[in-house]
Amino acid sequence: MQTIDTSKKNPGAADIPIIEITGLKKVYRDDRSLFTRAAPALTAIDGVSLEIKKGEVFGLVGASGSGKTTIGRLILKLENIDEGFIRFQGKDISRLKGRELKKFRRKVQLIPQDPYQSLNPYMSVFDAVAEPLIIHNAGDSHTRREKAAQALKAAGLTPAEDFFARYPHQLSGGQRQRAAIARAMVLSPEFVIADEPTSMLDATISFTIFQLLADISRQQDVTLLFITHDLAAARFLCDRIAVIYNGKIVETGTAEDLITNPGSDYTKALINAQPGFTFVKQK
Amino acid sequence: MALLEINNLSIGYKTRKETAIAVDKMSFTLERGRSVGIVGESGCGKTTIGMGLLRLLPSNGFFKSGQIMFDGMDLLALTDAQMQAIRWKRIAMIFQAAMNAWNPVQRIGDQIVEAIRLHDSKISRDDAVKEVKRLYEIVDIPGDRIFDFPHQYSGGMKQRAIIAMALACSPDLIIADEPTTALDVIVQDQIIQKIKEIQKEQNIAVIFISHDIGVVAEACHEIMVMYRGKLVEKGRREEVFGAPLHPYTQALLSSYLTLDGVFEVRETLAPAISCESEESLPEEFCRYVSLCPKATEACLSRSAQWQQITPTHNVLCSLCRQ
Amino acid sequence: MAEHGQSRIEQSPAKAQRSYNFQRFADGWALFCENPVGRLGLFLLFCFGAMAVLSYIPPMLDPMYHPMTGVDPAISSSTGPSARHWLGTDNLGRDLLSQLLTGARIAFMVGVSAAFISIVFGTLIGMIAGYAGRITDAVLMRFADMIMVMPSLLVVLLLASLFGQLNIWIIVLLISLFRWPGVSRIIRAQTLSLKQRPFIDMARVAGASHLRVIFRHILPNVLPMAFLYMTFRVTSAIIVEAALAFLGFGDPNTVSWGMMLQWVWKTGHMFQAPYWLLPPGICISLITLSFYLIGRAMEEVLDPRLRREEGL
Ligand SMILES: Nc1ncnc2c1ncn2[C@@H]1O[C@H](COP(=O)(O)OP(=O)(O)OP(=O)(O)O)[C@@H](O)[C@H]1O
Ligand SMILES: Nc1ncnc2c1ncn2[C@@H]1O[C@H](COP(=O)(O)OP(=O)(O)OP(=O)(O)O)[C@@H](O)[C@H]1O
Ligand SMILES: [Mg+2]
Ligand SMILES: [Mg+2]
Repeated sequence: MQTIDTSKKNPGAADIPIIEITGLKKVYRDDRSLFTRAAPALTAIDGVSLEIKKGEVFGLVGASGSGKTTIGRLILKLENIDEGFIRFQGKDISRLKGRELKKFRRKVQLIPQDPYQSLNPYMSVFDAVAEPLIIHNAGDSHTRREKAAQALKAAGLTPAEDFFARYPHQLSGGQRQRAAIARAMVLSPEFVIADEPTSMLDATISFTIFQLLADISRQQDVTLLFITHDLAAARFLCDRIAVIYNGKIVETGTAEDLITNPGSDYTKALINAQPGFTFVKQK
Repeated sequence: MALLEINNLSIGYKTRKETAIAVDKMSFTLERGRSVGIVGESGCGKTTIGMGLLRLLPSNGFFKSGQIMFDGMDLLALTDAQMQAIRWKRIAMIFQAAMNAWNPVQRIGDQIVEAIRLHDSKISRDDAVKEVKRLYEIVDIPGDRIFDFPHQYSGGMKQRAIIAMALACSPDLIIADEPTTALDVIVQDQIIQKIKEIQKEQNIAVIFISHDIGVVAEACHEIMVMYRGKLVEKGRREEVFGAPLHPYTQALLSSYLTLDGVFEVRETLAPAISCESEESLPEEFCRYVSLCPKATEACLSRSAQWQQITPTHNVLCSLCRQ
Repeated sequence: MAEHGQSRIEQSPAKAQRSYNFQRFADGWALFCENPVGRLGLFLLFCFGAMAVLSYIPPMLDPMYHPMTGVDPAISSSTGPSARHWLGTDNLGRDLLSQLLTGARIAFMVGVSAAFISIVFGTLIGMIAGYAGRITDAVLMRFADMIMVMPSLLVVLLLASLFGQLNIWIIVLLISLFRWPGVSRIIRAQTLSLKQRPFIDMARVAGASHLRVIFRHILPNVLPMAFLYMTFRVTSAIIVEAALAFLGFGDPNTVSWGMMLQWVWKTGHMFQAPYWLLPPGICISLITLSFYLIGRAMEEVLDPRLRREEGL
């Protein structure tokens, strides 16, 4: 086995928090209970506090249904917070409105889980990548073209012009995910959430996507929240990892520490459950 | 006699534009109580094999050649009624992405109960509910969520409910098409262990289809690696993962992340030769040439042939030819 | 390492992509034409289109062929087919063929414009209801329900008897006002499922306004469905107009097939003059059939699940 080269991880990670989450709570209530038996309210996030530092790659690892996606959606302001605060660069995001909100939308982006569903089937790659630029009035059509080409190139879709006129269904899964990454990165955001970005992709392709994300986090001034259920992937990519279980954070620590020295039973169980090649004799 | 014996099976799809061969001359045998894992990239034909075994190909799919012998019966020669009696009772299948097939307006518990009672009309509703409870325990969903609607389940829970449903009729052969995809590792591990346990206890055979090489490594006795419709390497798991021979198997392994790092077979993986496209090559030639880091000009000029490494370990590669 | 499956796609020439939209249209068209249902529908539609165009010719040849005012001075009662009047004349001596041709024009006008207006209303309201959800959705949909359960023909009849004879355009407007709720329900259902799709979230994360999401992301996705329903609406609009006209509430200044039927009936030629009764009746059935068939075939193009790949 090759050991992971830890020096790849971000030396530039500063101690300034970019996201601070305090006592976050989200309850899903069944509001369509007029004609059906009311389902009990479901506490998806139950008192989560986290701090993500500027420039780092932060991993959020947990079982399915543990609330990882919900945290991401709350940070992105796609859901309303029930209790607690999320501060982005010191500002409470639930108060953001109008121009402030638009500025926030420019800085925080999402790399979605399912590349087959996350691109509008009726939009060409260029339209999709350039859309954020249009929304935020960034540059004229010429600079937009240039920026889109740059973003595609950075995401590994070269030559970019070849991809401009294609539609999502003309791309392979890996290429779609690269297009989605280009779209997320085109505005040079400060904070990017990657929600299980490779769970729909083949192993060989997801490995190249991980490498791409590692490259991006190293080369650009961006903080990455990497949501996954795969501890091995988190270890490969992240500086720090938080383990979430049933809407609660059970453990936070540096990637190395957490895996070599798990503090909680749940983390231990996660590590033990990792499918492996234990039967293969390694030298 | 082996429980399942597949000889030279080819399955194709007719579309408006062309006739595509999705599974090409596949042969393997599976003993009772053994498990075989099929790995390969998306679209290489894994699901097609599973559906083919149950004779549930879509209307435009067809068997081009070959034979499927199941417990001495030639499945391709049976009548539809005979085949219907074998499905679920003797060969069960966990369908890929079945979790998205739950009827969104019916409670999941009701859907399973209905399926069980459809299958065995003598069972009372209460007993069926009890059975569902037992199955839910196996797959680790809290009993009080049985009668939730599909949208109230997370993706993982929906998939677990599907697995519960397939376990309901203890069959001779289970074809599990990506049964743990979309599950987190802990549940995945539990499911794998559970399937292994049931398999051992009841001596059933399992065909485990997955794109995750780690999962099949954990779950199966034997491994078959597929690439674009063809088996390229098969053998016992120790052989295939201990000494992978086909460059594609090596590529799969080298991109597999483990907690300690990356699997060791890493090499520079830049295509060595240029070749227009595999499509222009005759059918019998290697389909991996344009991506293969080890391909040589020789690969473009001769067909790939099966090479026996050990009695159980075989590889289809034009390079490994003596 | 190289991405598997990527190389194959990359090898296709870049210029091929530019014609993508054209290609998609061509593919859809080919599928449509392969379908016997679609072909029959198109053929019928083509015939009626030809009739509508030809309707300009007879009055030009001789003023006596004008469908409304052209009276053959030699004839004072309804006559059967003859060399002068291929389909015969009505009781005033007006040429039936010329009336029938003009009727095709009116049917197109009424059908297409009423369908178009109702589709525009239905799509807009459906998208807004589905996207906004909550109160807006509830209010709009209850409103739609109210209109849907209203006996539209009765209401139009009532209005007609209140306000006297209605202009053909008012009739078109009334028909479309009664016909949008069905469309809006379908578009709303589509919007609801689209709203759950991640690309809508992605648009919001990129900062898109609600208007942008609706018009740039949802509209293109529901548009094919809207067009599909337009063909079905055409059918119903033509039938409603014919019924109104037959009952005597049509625009007296136009010659529609419904009007022709009314004249047959009012002048008591119902059973004496089959050459007068049958052509408009058959035309109404066939034109509605043709739009219906086209809709069905389009449905098959739009929804791959309905496509019949040649089975075994
Ligand atoms: N819109 C919703 N309405 C009701 N309950 C919801 C909703 N969305 C999520 N939930 C519930 O909230 C919990 C957390 O869901 P979430 O999607 O955040 O999990 P996750 O960690 O992302 O899981 P996965 O790995 O399966 O994606 C789950 O129990 C889920 O059933
Ligand atoms: N109904 C169909 N008509 C035409 N081609 C089909 C049909 N179903 C599958 N195919 C093609 O057959 C090939 C094999 O498909 P199959 O579903 O077996 O792949 P798979 O290995 O299960 O992939 P995945 O890992 O994505 O599930 C693919 O190239 C696919 O495009
Ligand atoms: Mg999730
Ligand atoms: Mg499959």
